[in-house]
Amino acid sequence: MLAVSFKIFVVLAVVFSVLLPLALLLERRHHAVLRERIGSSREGIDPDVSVWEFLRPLGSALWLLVAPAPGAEGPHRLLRELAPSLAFVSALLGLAMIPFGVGPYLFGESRVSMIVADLDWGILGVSVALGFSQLADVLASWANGSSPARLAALQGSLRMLAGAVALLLSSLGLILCAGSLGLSEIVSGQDSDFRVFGLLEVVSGAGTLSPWLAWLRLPAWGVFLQPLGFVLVLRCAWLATSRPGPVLHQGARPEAEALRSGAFLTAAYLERIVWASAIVALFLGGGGIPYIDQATIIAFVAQAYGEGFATGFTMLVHGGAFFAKVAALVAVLTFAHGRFEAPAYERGMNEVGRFLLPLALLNSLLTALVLVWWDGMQA
Amino acid sequence: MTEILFYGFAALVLVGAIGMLFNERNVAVAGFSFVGSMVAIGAIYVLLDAVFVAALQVVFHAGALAVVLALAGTMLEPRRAPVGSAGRLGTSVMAGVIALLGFAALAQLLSAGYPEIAEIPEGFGSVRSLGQLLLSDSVLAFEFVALLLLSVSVGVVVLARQEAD
Repeated sequence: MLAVSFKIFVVLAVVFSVLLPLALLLERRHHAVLRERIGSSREGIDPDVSVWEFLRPLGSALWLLVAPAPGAEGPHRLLRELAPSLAFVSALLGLAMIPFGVGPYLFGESRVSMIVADLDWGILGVSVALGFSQLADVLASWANGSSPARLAALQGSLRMLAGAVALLLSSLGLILCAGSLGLSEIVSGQDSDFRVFGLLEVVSGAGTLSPWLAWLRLPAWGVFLQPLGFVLVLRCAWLATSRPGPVLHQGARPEAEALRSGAFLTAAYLERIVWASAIVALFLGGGGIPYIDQATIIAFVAQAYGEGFATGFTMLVHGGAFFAKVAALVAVLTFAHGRFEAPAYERGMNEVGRFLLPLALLNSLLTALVLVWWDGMQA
Repeated sequence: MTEILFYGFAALVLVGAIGMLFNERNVAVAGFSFVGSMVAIGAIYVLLDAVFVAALQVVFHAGALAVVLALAGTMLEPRRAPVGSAGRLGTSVMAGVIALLGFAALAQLLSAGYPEIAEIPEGFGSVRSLGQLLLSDSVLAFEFVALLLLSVSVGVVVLARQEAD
């Protein structure tokens, strides 16, 4: 119980004190630069990013908290009040199912894993959590009774659903390679490397190629095993998390709905973080360090400081690596959102239906064929 | 403890189902009652140690159907469901017959007495065991479901095309 609470605390602390402010900061600052609306510099505020900038989202949150309370109109007040929490909770549920290290780590007899809820259908759970968190938008706009908001929320939810389905189908090839739906198994399977020309040697039957080619090794990350799947998932994440414009949740009095709108926008950033974490766990080796696997780090540090310290140190390193990768991916997604115009709703859905889904199916079919053939070769 | 939880969730299932029946005018409330009922059934699956089945229950019934209901409820918002009086009697008789059959089956099961509770095997309720079961003992049902889904998708395409023309 204590261990789980501590893990939840770590994940929440990193997400809310680093990743979320980072996403908000990137969105505000760098979008402003990209779109040439450098407001604060013309106001005489130093436009360089400083540490204090991280406090700005906190200030916004405080302002949202003290902003005028929403009015009590409409018959579905309870649903309206509950909807933001639903969005938050589902996104956080998604985070709980993603391992933020490699693991499992052994301290004597006890096994420690760096994941809050280690489910053997983790990837399924993450995509469901993402879908649910969009459903909260629909709930809120329906309870509000304003038609434009309703339409926007419905489009957003369909966008997210298409994205979640495409996420599952695109990572199907990777699931086949790992032989598991559980994210912790998928991540620990990626903590090694492979010879680039190993497959070629088996296919050609020519035996070992020249020895210097054997030095060419790649980490066994999903991005190298399933490059097409990675590109597809990245595109899905971009389509699912970038919105064409502000989604209106407010009715007649926008300023009175400040807290709720703010909560929804924050939940949207949280969704981006969940997408980034899922992609890191699936395709970028989770918390793994390329070329140096868990056993190597532990053995190296244990020479000087003993086994227990070495394992703890490795956990820290892996956790840091995971959150660094997630932060980088959040930055990439935010830049993509800001730099390129998000496709309009119909175009986005068309792209998912006519382009992403068939390619994902083709990818998984090819992967299955290769795996069956490979098993035949091994036998 | 397990029994208390079971009765609690069973009561929730019933409440949700009844709430859906008596809110036919208000699609949204009916939908949420239905979702509540399905989530409670999922909780009963958890009590039976079938965690993955519970997850699927929540995902497909609560999640996917909630989306459908959200679409229908928000786009159409039927203030008054068009319930004709003509088909009412036949529907009632049919429902009564089906309910009686269900009760008969239940009575027969109960009269045979409870079976011995078996020991839960290793890996029960995991994705792996469920997948193996689906592709070995229950492969016929699995294929029938696949056929059903295929026909559903064909039907959707046909309906959508009719609307486009």
